[in-house]
Amino acid sequence: MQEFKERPMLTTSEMKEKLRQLRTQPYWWDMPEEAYREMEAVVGPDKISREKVVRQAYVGRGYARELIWFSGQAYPPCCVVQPETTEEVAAIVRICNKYHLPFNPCSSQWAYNANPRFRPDQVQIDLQRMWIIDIDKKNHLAHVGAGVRYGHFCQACFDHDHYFINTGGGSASCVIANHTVWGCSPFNYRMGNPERRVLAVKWVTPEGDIVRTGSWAGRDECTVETGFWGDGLGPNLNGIWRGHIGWFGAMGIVTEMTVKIFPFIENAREAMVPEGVNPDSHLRFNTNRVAWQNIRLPSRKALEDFFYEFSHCQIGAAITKVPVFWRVIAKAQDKEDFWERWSGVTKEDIDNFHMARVLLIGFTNEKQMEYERAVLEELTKEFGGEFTRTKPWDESWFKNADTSGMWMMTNGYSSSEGGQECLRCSFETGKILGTLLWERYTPPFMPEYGDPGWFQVNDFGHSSYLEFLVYMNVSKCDPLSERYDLQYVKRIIEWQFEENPSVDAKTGFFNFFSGSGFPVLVQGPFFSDYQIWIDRFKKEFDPRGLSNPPAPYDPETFLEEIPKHIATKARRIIKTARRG
Amino acid sequence: MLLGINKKKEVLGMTFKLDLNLENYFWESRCCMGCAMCKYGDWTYVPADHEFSWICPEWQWGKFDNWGACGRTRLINALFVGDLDWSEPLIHEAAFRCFSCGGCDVGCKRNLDLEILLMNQSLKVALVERGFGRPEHKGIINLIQRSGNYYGMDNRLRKDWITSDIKVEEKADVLFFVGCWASFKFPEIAQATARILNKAGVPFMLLENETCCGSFMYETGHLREFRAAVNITMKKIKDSGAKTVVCACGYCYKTLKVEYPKVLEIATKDLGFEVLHISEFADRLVKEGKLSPKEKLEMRVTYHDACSVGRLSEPWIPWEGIRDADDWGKLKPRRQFRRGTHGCYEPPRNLIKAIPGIDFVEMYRHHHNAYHSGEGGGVYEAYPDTAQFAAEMRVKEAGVFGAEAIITPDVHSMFMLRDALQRVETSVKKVYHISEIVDQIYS
Repeated sequence: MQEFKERPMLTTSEMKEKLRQLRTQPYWWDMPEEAYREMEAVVGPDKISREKVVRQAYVGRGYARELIWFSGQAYPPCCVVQPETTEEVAAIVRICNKYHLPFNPCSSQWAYNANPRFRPDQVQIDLQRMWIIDIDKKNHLAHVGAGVRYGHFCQACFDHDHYFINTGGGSASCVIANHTVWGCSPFNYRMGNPERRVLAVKWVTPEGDIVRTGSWAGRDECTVETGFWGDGLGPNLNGIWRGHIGWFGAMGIVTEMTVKIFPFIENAREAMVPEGVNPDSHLRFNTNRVAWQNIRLPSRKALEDFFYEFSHCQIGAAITKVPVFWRVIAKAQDKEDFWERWSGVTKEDIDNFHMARVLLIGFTNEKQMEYERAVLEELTKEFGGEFTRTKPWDESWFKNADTSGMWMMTNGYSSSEGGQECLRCSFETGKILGTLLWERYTPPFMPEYGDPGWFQVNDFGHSSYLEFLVYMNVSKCDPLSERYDLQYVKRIIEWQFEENPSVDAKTGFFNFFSGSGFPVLVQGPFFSDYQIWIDRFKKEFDPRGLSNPPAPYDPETFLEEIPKHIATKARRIIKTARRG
Repeated sequence: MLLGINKKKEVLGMTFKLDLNLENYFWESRCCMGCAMCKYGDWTYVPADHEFSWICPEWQWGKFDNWGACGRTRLINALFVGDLDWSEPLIHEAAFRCFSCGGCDVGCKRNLDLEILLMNQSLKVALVERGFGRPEHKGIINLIQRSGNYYGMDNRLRKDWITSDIKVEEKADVLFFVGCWASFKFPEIAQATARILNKAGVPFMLLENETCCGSFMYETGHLREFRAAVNITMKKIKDSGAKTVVCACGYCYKTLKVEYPKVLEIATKDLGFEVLHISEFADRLVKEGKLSPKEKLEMRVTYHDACSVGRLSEPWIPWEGIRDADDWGKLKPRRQFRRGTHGCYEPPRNLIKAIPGIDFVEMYRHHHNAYHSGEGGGVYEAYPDTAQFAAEMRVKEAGVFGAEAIITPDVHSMFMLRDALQRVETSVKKVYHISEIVDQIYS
């Protein structure tokens, strides 16, 4: 039994003082009156606010917020404006340019850089009112607005006997924002990578011009029917507004998009029945047409070979291997239950646990399902595996992805590695990271016992996806907690800025978490002149540097603003990388 | 004073207690990562139809994030750290436009298990304590304190709803707690409920001098006044010797079953009497063969899960302990969460579905994921525009399914939905309280 010592929280004045020491800018900033009035004239008085209370609601949100918000570098925007059309967005951006006001686009605010950080003078362009879902069932397309989330969109697709990915970011993620960056899901196995799903877009450039790509180019009216082609005349502009991994708002704002959607089974709505009560609600399948199947393989080698052969057979709609602790989260009733279960796990358990999760869909009829199941059974036998009991329903990926549950175990979480590479590279990178984390970084991170992370196959085996997740003790990262430990934070940053890039360099893995947010880390023989191109495009399209600064240079700014958080070696790496 | 911890090895953790002290929720204000499930609710049930895609009526009304729970969490944190001042009028508005319907809480507890509803309720309490309560609320609370009822009427008229065909016992195991709304404004609901009990041969009594349960005080953050109401009513119920308290009003039901034990720092099971909604009681009577449907009702109907009877009515389980900062923030001792799982959902549905000829349809948002009707949290009294907006949305949703009638277990939601019918073009022609339907069809 343990004794506790009651620890009253810090007083308001103590917290205020701590934050004063951390912050490098005044917290509140008043925007010019004329700029506000001009924006108000565009959207109307109900859709703009500079009230402190409204602005404060947009502080410290989303993924990786611990890094920025806890370190005192998250600031409220100087106003929040909610345009409803692309033309309104463009007008707001032009006003920002006129008054040299930086702007920050957001919708679901899933990532930390969807809210202002490092400076308090940003205009928050909240796109939640841009609600468009228009589906062209015949041509397998959908026109989507920037306010639409995956959960809504997936249901809209079901309603039209189609389906679409639901992202690793969760059902609340914005479809457009996610497609301008990572856009990954196990369904990429069959649907391909996100850049290939995007057809036409309406893109408001950092200076406020509206550019229409694909078959929307040169059209006055952009509808689902007209957004058919992914390319228009001239160079492929998708490479500028998106690139491979996106700009996180640093290259203007994509407001509308047409995306490919994919034919599903007939009467999809009836075949995916929502049932159950919180926290166990789910979509029940017609298992003659849709089913997940868990398969246990005898070794890691067998698992890797199974992934390869599965793709080779071109069956199934998804194949994924998730970290073992996800399976425990799914079973646990709460955080404490998770830890009770997880405390019984050993390194040996993890070393001997090799589970593939496969999705089968009889797209055309039950016969297809029977065929695919037969092939799967044969494959499983061939690799010495066995089918294990699998629930006849979906709790994630089709419509409801509870990604925020990732925070449940420790309330501090980060994906330190993620990207698309060949299967071999993903397997190898995951293995090295798993071992390194267990042997050298546990603590500060939660024990994962060498688990090689989450991987899956994309594009029928053409590429794969790896994501490596780490969990930290949130109290030790929070300067307002009495348990705050700067050395602990430094070790976390060290993992991110030193160890990950070192492993990437060894295996050739392109970590898009680095590439998108941390281009300084994407250097050297594997990444060529990526950073130079980032710089050039940024200067050309956003000469005033107003589109969501400091993206894509957050880590450098972080280094400048709060250097004490970064260990000396990591600082040297970043500085060296920046010099090229 | 913390429970269940022996003093041997020192653990440095933050004390935590489930109550209405805002300081207990500092962790919540730091650890909400803004996933916004509090806005959307359970994705499993979300439709593509934009109007019906939300669980938070306040956010849907206001659209800016300060009107939703994850935004409000940032406001509360800013109050803690001194970035915002308590006197900001928009903080008061953000707090008191909240219906306290718990939709956000259910969404959050699908993933993160933060105590969002208790935190928001504690914000209301903290604002009232600092003199920032709404004057509209204070006016009604003065009326309640003066007269013993929400309407400020002569409390001696409380039993005027009783008609000659209704038999009330002087003493019985079952106590029908009628509530202010059914006693004074909607006597037909009190009568229907009493007739159900009479038909099933269940002797029941009324309190000698029933006074307001205090729900309005709780909902609007007037904790001191609520405690006084709890003490009065608890004494009356205990003195009556009732073993079972039956309610037809959702808010009386939730208040007696959940909020009374909450402020008394006991579990619902330790109240000393059982609190049942009339739908639970009638469902039990049907199972015992004492009631059965005798009439046909050829109508397409839907059921509105009033939050007070649904997700908010789970039995209260008190807890206090620590979050162990050295051990991943685990709660010690372990606690049981209330996630809306065990609300009163099926009994009213059983009663409705058993009616011959009835065509029952569920709306998009039901069970734990139901949308609010607009009456609750004192919003109707202080901000009728937000309340009416929510009610209109709910009636429109029923209309999407071609429902001719909405059946609700709560007098408050019945009032709001009936009111909205006058403004919304919809297939819905009637809003019934479940007691009216059971009284009409069952015998």
